[in-house]
Amino acid sequence: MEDSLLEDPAPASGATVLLEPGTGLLEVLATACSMWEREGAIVLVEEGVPVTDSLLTGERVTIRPGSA
Amino acid sequence: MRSVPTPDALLTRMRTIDASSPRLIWHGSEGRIELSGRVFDNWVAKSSNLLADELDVVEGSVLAFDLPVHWKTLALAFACWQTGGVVLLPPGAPAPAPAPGGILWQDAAAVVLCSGGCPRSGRRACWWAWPWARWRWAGTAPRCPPAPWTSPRRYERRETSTSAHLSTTPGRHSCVRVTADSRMGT
Repeated sequence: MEDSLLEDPAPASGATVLLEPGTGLLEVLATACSMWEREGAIVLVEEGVPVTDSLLTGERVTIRPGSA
Repeated sequence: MRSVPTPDALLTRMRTIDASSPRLIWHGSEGRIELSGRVFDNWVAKSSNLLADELDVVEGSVLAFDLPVHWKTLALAFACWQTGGVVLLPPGAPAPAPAPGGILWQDAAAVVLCSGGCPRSGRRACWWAWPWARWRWAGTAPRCPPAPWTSPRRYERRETSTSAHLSTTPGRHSCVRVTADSRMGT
């Protein structure tokens, strides 16, 4: 997993990024624009909804900004 | 800084390149929703019509977004850009580096996202909603504006068959209260 999407000017084409619950709207919009420019996808998770391994696997998440 | 596509260009890509592939996936308390590029573009078009027809949003209008992160919020933001409006976020919002997508980072106190037009034209609209975007007007006109980053101004109220809103005349706020009932379907 990459640590920071916003520091990476060119995420891979077709990648899927998961934005953690609590991510600000500005970052969500910026990430959406960045990903959609490269035919990627974003996964948004509502606060209170757990981010589980099955969610990550099921959505084929390839980028998770801020994760260790 | 490299050139970046406008939101309109992004939407064009989304509805023409792998248009049926998932672009936005939402995991909420009520379940999972997946939107392809074509479906998201359709929602943006619907939202653009709402903004233009019901709220008189035009190029240069500023819409203050006091909305939670939600897939409908993204559709509204792109609709705002599609109509030439400016998305205004509250101060204190996290401040990542300038990013692609026609997003402008204006200053530390106010973040302006725009796809063109004048972000300070004097036309201003306030939009706010409770956790879910719902379209039906209920009750009396709320105090305007509700957000702490704008100062109160006079407003006029006008009602339509589908919503109530305040006219957007220069120097005045336009408000729509988006409340319970008539939840948007998917």
